[in-house]
Amino acid sequence: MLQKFVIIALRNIRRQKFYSILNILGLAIGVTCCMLIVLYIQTELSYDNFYDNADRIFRLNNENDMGGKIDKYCNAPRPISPTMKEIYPEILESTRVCGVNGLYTHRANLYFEEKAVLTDQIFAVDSTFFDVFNNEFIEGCAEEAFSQQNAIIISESLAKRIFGDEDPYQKTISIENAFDLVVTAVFKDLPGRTHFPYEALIPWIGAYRPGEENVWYGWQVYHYFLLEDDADPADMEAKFPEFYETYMKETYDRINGHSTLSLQPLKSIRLHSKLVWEMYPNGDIANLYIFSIIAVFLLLIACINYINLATARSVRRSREVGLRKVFGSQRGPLINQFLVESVLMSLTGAFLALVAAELLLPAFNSITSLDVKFNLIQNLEYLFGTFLLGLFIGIVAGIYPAFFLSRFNPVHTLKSDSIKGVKGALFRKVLIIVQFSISIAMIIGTLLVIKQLLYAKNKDLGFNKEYVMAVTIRDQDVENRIQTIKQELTSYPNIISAAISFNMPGTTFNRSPATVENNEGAFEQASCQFMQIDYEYIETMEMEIVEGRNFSRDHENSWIQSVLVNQAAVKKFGWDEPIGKRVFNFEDSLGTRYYLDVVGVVKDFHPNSVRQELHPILIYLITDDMQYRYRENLRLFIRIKKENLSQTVGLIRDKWNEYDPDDPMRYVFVDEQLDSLYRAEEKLITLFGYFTFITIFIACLGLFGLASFTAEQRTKEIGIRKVLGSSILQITCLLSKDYAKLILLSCIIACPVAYWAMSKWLQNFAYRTGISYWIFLVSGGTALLIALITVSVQTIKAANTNPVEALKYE
Amino acid sequence: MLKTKDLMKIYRTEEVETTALNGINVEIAEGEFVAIMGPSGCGKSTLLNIAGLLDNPTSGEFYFFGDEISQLKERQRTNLRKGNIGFIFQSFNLIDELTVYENVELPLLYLKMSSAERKRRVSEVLDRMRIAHRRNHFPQQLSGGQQQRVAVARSVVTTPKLILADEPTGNLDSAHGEEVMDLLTQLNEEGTTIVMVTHSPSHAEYAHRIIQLFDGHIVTENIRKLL
Repeated sequence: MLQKFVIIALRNIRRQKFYSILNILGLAIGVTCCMLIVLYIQTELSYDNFYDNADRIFRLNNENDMGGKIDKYCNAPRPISPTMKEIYPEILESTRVCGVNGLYTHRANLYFEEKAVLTDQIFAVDSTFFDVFNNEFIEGCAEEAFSQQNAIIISESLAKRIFGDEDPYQKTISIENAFDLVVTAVFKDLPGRTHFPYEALIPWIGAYRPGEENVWYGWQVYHYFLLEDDADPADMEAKFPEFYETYMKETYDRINGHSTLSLQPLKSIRLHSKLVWEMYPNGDIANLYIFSIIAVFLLLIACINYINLATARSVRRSREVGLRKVFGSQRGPLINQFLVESVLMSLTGAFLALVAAELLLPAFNSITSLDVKFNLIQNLEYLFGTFLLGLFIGIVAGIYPAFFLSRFNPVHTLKSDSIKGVKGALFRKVLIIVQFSISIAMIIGTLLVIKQLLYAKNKDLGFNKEYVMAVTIRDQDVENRIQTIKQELTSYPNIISAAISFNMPGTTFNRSPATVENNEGAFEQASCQFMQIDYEYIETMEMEIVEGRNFSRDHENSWIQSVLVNQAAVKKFGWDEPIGKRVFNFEDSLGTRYYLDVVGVVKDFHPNSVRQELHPILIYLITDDMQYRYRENLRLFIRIKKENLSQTVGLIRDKWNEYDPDDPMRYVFVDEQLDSLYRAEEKLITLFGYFTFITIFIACLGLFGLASFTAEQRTKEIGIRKVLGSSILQITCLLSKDYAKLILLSCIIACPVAYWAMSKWLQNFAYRTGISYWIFLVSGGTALLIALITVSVQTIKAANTNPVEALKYE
Repeated sequence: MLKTKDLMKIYRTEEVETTALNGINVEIAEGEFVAIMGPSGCGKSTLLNIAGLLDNPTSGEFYFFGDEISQLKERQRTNLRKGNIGFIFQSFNLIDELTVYENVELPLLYLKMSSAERKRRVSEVLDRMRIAHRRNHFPQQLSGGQQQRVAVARSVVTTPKLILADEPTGNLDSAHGEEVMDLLTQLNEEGTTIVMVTHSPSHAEYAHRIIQLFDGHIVTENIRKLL
């Protein structure tokens, strides 16, 4: 019987080419998008799965409450994990992880002979690291790896990059040309995706002085635990308050703060963690939800096309149904027969989609900057999955038409004129409204996301981000001569000014409590961000002093005299008269306390994405003769004229080669750095835009089919109207009117839903654009226009038919 | 074989009530050949639909082989119909997507029959109707007469006891019409009961008995031949 069903279905598909193509195309496009989305979701969900003990590994998070100002960190003070390991039997192993070039910088140059290799994945770790994160060794072993202080353990591919085909084992390399390290082990490249990719590790004891080990506040590093098999993380977390009381409270009390520790499962970090100081940008579970919903919508719309076309065209099949019933068929076999037909179509669509997904994957990867992989031969489960998906869609799309068609009464169907396609018309209308409500809501969403992005990018940042180069200073000699270099560079006509700072706009700024004077002259704690700039920075970044003055060589010759604050700080501290207020700086060994005087207030500026609220910022001075331990973050900011841009950059590069012949100049433009903060949103927009377009396209495919069917059905009416003198335009309007009504109704449904959803989304941003009414008008208008164009193609054709032809059908 | 008592059929729409059959009492014996005649809208097809178990009467009694079945559910009617009743229509009603062979095979598919047996029966009946050479063609590729021969083949392939023919010659020219009437007569002579609706007085002559309907009533029963 099945074989017969398949044969009949194939014949029907062939006979109704136009509608079959519309259906299969719609399904194929929908399934292609769905597959790409599934691959994307699969990739995001695969993070950190490859560790043997992934389910038992946890990261320690730390929530600091500084007088009501809460910061959630994914790292914590250093002594915590070694102490916990000693007192909690549930902890099988623990390891600390931190950057090597400053606590949070996991980037460094490794030198071997004449060659420099830059890595962005170098960390200092405890010797227990591999007990927590299992990995295989190609050379050496875990015990040996950490046997000496000046060891470095590198990955297979980093070894290739540094040593080529030479054996790396026991070779000496230098980090930043400052310390020599011996390669004691080589481990296999990580086999999968992780929130914490590493390719070089150095022993903790080699990286940090013992004196820094016992600080229970600040100097935070990452802590990872491997728990015992039967350990319950919740039970452990319940013990943390007691731990805090015993070890940390004393320190935190002194700074009027409080810390809450918690455990985060390793596998949840990628999608559920957006804390301060994440090692690398994480993904966002919200995007997974958004795209899952889009995938469901796309499939739904494609299924609706099938349902609508199949039921609308049911009149063609009614006679067959009637006859089969007359000759003894019950409803069951008829339902099966129609299901076979829809499943066959959806399977065709699904397998076309499989090919399309494979072909489109590179494009998809470049849009999303993901590295989603898809190999049919290696992953036969995709083939099976596609089959199941096709089957599922076929049943979902086919079930209603199957019941609808099989219900026909044989007595009526066998009288050729008794059944009209009007049956189920109301249901079809509802489905069209569903399709277009979704489409319109997606257009509204896309427009609003674009509007917010433009708003964020063009918002007054409080400084001029355009045409400022940020050059990383890496050489001690360059640092020593930086004043001379600044003077030399600014002597060129195309270079306006130059300044140095430790803080790169668009990166995370340090935040910790400061002790500041209040209006009554007493001192209070408050959480602040910190910046360090030189005398020329305010001018170079074109920032504005709204009260008091900038740092000046006439007034300040040491960094311990003065401080600038932003307006947010003035507001937060409640200062009536900011100038002259004092900020506690430090206490020397004799007990003398040193204070900084506020000398100026800087107009509020956004050093980061406008997603983030403005924080109070204390701005410290870098004097001309200061020396720094961590150079990686020190940058020279050069404002250049926009004319002859590339020549100026070339000139600076040439000069830089003279200053620092060992390293090529490393620089970014500040505006690019800031724009990169919005890259995730840009990707979201691009993808969203594509999917919106596809949604409308599939919906229109269905509309196109329905319109042509309606036109076909109303051929006689059109003929009579034309005979009676109706114009083509009038007929086109007549046929399009019904669809226009449906689209308008869809608008009425989509607008409030989209408004609600988008208001929620906008709440992610501290500074957000408004939801303007024109967005709704444009979205509805666009949908209406596209739908009417689609319908008109068919209706104009029908209206143009010679009425004699039309009436001949009777 | 068939017997009705005060059979009524009323069609209701929202505003209009149409009485299609009004107190029909008729009895048809096994082996009879009965023609039903009357003007359009007199209830001929309605009577045939009820006789063919395609529809239930609104009231009255309907006996099929002695069983009162006027209120059977669709599923039960279908089961009773299968293999017992053959249908021939004015517009042939062949399925366009099926070949001649498949169209004829159709009623057998619903009768749990082995495929070898189906094949044997279909081939036999196609030979008999002289359309075996067209077995792999689709209906649109055949002439009207050929199509009706296929339809007759389809109606007899299950060797039903009763054949209901709704204007079987209505869409045919006179030569093809005669041909179909000869086939029906032959089937009747072999023992199949035949009930035929027709507008053609000459074709009605083939029947033993003519029932005249008018406005849902039987106006005359003309017994032409007695067995």
